[in-house]
Amino acid sequence: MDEQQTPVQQTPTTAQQLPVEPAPKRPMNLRLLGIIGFGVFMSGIIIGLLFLSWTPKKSTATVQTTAVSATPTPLFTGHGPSYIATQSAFLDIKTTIASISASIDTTTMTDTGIKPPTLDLPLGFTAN
Amino acid sequence: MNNKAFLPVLFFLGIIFSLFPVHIHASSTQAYQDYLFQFDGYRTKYNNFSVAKTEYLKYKTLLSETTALDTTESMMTQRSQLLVSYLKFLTEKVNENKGLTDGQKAQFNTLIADETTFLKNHLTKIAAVTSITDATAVSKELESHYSSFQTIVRQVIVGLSLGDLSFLNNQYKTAQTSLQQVVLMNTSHVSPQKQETIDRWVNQITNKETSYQQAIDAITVNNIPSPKNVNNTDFDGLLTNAQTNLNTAKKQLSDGTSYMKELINLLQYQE
Repeated sequence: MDEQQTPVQQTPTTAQQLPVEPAPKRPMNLRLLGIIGFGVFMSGIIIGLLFLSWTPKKSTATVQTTAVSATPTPLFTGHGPSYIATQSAFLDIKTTIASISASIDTTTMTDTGIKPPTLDLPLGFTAN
Repeated sequence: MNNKAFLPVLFFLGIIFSLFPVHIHASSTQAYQDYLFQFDGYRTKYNNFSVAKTEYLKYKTLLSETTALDTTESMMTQRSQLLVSYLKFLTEKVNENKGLTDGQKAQFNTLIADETTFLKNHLTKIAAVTSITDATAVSKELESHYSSFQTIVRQVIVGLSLGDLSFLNNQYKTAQTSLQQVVLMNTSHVSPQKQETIDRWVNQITNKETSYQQAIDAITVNNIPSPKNVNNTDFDGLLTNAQTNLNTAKKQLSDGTSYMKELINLLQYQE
């Protein structure tokens, strides 16, 4: 009987089995870790895709804001119209000078049509 | 409503004007056309005269003499009519000129009228010609008078150009005065440095007018010869010389106007 109890006294075997107990828990953790990791991976991909898909919208938005905030560049930097430029007297004289300039250009001093006719005056009856 | 009522009236007036077209031509244009017509006639009659003269000088027959006399009379008549039509053209040009004063116009018209009178008397003498000797004698009257004719014609031609320039110069002076007034209006709105530039440019515009006047004086004094002091051969050279000086005077006005445009641009914008 004692002999039969001997194997019963082998508690260390049960004690040895203690560290074996977590063994079935490892696949559960791994699965959890795998699931979590997969979830993180997928969410990273999704976030990445979302980021990529959102980037153009952000760029157009910035363009719009710059377009609205842009200020017009003056045509003559530092040389805008003067005080006199809008006065009627100034506008009149400007037109007058343009008209005189055109008149001078069209007036000719060498009008060939006005020259007198060229004539052979002597009759040439040399016998007389 | 009023506009609609007015439309039939306009339509009616349009029909009237289309039925009776009014051709508005300057008198000088009509006179020039007549002058060209007379010139064509002269060329034809001169050719006929040349052929008949050659035949007469060659054959000395009665028939060739008669033909030569007829064509000579015809050519001389046409020649005088050509010169009369040319003087008529010049008269119209003088009357239309905007720059000549009434006194200058009257002076030129008197000179032209004297020449016309001479030519009309000449025509009367041509009609009385009975021989080639008579024709030669009558023709010589015109030949000896032609220097005076040429001088007067060129005086008128130069005078017309002077009138044209005078008209332009009057416009130039008016613009110059107006521009100076505009410059005065603007004085308080520009910096002293810019005002200094403006004043200098205004002076240069004034100087151009002075240079113009000097060129005109040179033409008036030197380029219009006295009829007694000029040979036939000098006329074209004198006219060309006068026209060169006229162009010099015109260039002063042209340069001055360009300066005015530059001044306008300077005044137009701020510093």
